Amino acid sequence: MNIIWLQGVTCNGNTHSFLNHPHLATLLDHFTLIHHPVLPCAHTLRAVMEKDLPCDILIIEGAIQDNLNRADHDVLGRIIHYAAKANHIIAAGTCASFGGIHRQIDPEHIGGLVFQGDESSGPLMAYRDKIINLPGCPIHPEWLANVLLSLRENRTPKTDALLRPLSLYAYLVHNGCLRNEYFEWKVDAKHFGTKEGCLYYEQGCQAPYTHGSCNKILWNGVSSKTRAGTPCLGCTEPTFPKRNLFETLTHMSIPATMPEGIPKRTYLTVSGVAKSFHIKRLESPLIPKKSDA
Amino acid sequence: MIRKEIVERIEGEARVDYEIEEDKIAFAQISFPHFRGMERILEGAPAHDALMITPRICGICGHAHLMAAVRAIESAYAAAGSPIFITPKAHALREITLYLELVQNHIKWFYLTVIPALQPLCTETLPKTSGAFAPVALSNRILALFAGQAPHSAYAIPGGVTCDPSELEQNQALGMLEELEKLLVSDLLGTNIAAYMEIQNLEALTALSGDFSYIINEMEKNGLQGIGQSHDRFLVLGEHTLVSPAKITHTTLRMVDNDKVSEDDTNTFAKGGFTYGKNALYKGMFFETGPMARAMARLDPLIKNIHRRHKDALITRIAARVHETVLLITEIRRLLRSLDLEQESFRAPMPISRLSAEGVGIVEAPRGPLIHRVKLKSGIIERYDIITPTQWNLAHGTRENPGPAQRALMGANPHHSDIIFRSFDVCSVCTTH
Amino acid sequence: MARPSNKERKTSIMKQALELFSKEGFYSTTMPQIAKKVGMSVGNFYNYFNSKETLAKELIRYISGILGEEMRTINESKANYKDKIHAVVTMYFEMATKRPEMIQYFLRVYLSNREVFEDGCEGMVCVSDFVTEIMIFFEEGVRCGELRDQDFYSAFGLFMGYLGGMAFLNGEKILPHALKSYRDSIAMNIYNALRTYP
Ligand code: SF4
Ligand code: SF4
Repeated sequence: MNIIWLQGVTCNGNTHSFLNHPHLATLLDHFTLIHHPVLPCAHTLRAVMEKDLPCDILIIEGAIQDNLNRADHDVLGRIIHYAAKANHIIAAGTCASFGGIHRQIDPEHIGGLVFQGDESSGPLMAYRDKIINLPGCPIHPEWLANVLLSLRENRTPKTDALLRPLSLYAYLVHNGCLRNEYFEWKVDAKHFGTKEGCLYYEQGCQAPYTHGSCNKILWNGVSSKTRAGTPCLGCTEPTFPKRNLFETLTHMSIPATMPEGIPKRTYLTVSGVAKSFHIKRLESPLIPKKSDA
Repeated sequence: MIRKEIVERIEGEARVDYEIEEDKIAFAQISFPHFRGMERILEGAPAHDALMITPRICGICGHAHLMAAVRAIESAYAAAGSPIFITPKAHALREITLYLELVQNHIKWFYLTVIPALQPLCTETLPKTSGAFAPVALSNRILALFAGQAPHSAYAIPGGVTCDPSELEQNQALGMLEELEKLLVSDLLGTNIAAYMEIQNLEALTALSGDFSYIINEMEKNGLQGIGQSHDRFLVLGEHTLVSPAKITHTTLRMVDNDKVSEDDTNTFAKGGFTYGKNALYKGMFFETGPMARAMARLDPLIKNIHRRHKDALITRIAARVHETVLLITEIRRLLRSLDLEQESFRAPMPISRLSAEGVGIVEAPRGPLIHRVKLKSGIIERYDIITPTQWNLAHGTRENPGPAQRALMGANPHHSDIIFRSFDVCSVCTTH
Repeated sequence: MARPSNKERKTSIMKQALELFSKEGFYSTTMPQIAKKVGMSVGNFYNYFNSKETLAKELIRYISGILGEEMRTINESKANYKDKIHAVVTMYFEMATKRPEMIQYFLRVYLSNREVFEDGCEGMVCVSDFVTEIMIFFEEGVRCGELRDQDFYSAFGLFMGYLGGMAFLNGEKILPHALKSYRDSIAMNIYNALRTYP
């Protein structure tokens, strides 16, 4: 299968994230890279722009901007050319999927392939059926590898309304976080830099309403933001990036955004009760430090 | 004659118009055609958002941006009379992860940029580019043990770091580092680290059997060792465990004063010019930055030995980068071992909403000094200015006073233009953030 | 006449117990006294509540349920926050006038004898029906921009402390006028204290 990887407005983060795949060479054995921005490939960007090269899978990284030129050619025009030929189109990362960070700069002229934020529109609407969105800022290498392997087996992944494969995005990032027990019993992280406590109440963790498998298929095979004590920034969602991401938006101390699908009344009843109990184990350090004594 | 070229397979895209006279490059006009406007989206945002947004300026050196952003905000705290003292542990962790990003950058550059550009000029078949994959993934994996993920971590925050590693992560990191060393020893260096560290001159280096010496030997065999000399002026601005700020002209080391750094936008589209890249200058002069500059500032015996023979030529530039990779790994190990896990990861500073001040954060990124300047009002960003390393190296001057890369290209054989240009590890996405 | 169901029996016991507790206090009221008041043998009475503590906890849940219900109706109404606050004050004062034992129980037994409620009624557990609705009340007030964002307890304390204080003064017969007559001014005070300022 022939792959062409093209870039819109991007930081190259998806390209570099993909390079972290643990079995990259083996994975790539199954495909022919007609063009890739960094990896060894058959053709230059100029050739992709000027010739009509084979393309079964078109991968787009970065947001689409009107009048963006690369190698002296209009990028969007060439994307449309290859989109018509390709059997599948993958939006690699949040920018290509929804516009992401780069859309903030000029929402009028910069956006995703078929989504502008969560609104369904965009320059590739005619090819919507072929599109698979793999948001994430950056994309997780294994998510991309997984979809490529499905396509190679002629399986088209089932997707959600935002065209994200369910096998990867049906989960919430919250699922599998090591701090889940603290979430259940409403034990907040006292501050950053702790192993203990949940980051939902004060540090702005977006994971309870962010779809993705960051805590199932770990990043770089070993960790995730929440495992490293960083709040999830919600980068797989069309709302990314929100503002003030290291603080929970609260209304009178109550988180303004409820965990996905949980009615506020239900959540507050359960959490109010859970918070009433003081559970010594959860309030103690996991590994005491001398300074804790 | 003018030869117009679009350079791809760098971070982003650059355009070079070569003026060729009598089979030599007389001048090169370098421009960066893309612009994104990352500084603008920071204006009006809460300060901490810089930790999320600025790493996304660049997929390969985003971690350096994170470090510059956090240093900038912390320096604003100090300017406001409320200095932040992070623990030695938090400091060491930040250095470790920054160094790991440098390591993966250098390996990518060597295998994915330098080797393909050298191949057409060499008689022998050069090592495979896929040599980069395993060490790169491994470096980023160690980085993620502390920073949660790579690229685009946001684990450094004013007051420290968000992670609180235990012996588990410390040991995992040391174990993986050993693995990484093994890979580098068998492929890149061809000798063990201790033996490599003994090497002090070019002869001993070329006697090794790894990809590094293979490339150096090929360059010598094909007469490429002396090409690409530039101004022989170097600048280091970031303070780290491995290097301190210095200005080096030929071989004289001087202290630097950050106030002497300036930006020049006369060539930009905004001023009727031809590029989005702004020039970075020190005392109004162009300087080369990055691993070679750092080696000169560190008085590194091996690189100084090569420099003595070839000045700031291509060979020195390439050797300095690969050599730095090894030093970084040794330093990462030392820092990992030294971590005192009893120390706090984070100390809460004064609430940022009370902070109105200006700050500057300087970091030695893979390609040289990265500068973030921030102006905060009640914790909200009023102004954000970024100067990236490529703005130094790829600065655009005149024939009389060319930028470092221009100077390196001038007088060169046109066939050598590509490798000379790429030896500066051009990052267009950073330059035109 | 059909025999009253178990649940009805329990409710009737709670009503009577409420009166006794709020008048006599928790410790001075005995189980036989309550049994007598509901016309039950002491042995049978224990089938419904196996201890005074259990009864006390059930009672606070019962009151919180009733107040929660009322608050929920207000929360779900379409009124603005000025009117909603007025509605809460009205509801509370009516309760304090028509069924003073409920409010008195809350103030005199629940708040004054915390040791009784330690086990099983920690924190908000037994008053969660009511507190949940109060949380929703405040959260939505901030969300729609009518109430000022602040710490939950600083708003909660102001609101409930104020109302509780008035009910207490009323119970002690210290107030010169009927509780009802303070309604409008108190609602206005609370609204002014909590609302957003342009
Ligand atoms: S830190 Fe975030 S992901 Fe982890 S349990 Fe809390 S809310 Fe969920
Ligand atoms: S944890 Fe959240 S912010 Fe981080 S990569 Fe996953 S979805 Fe994005």
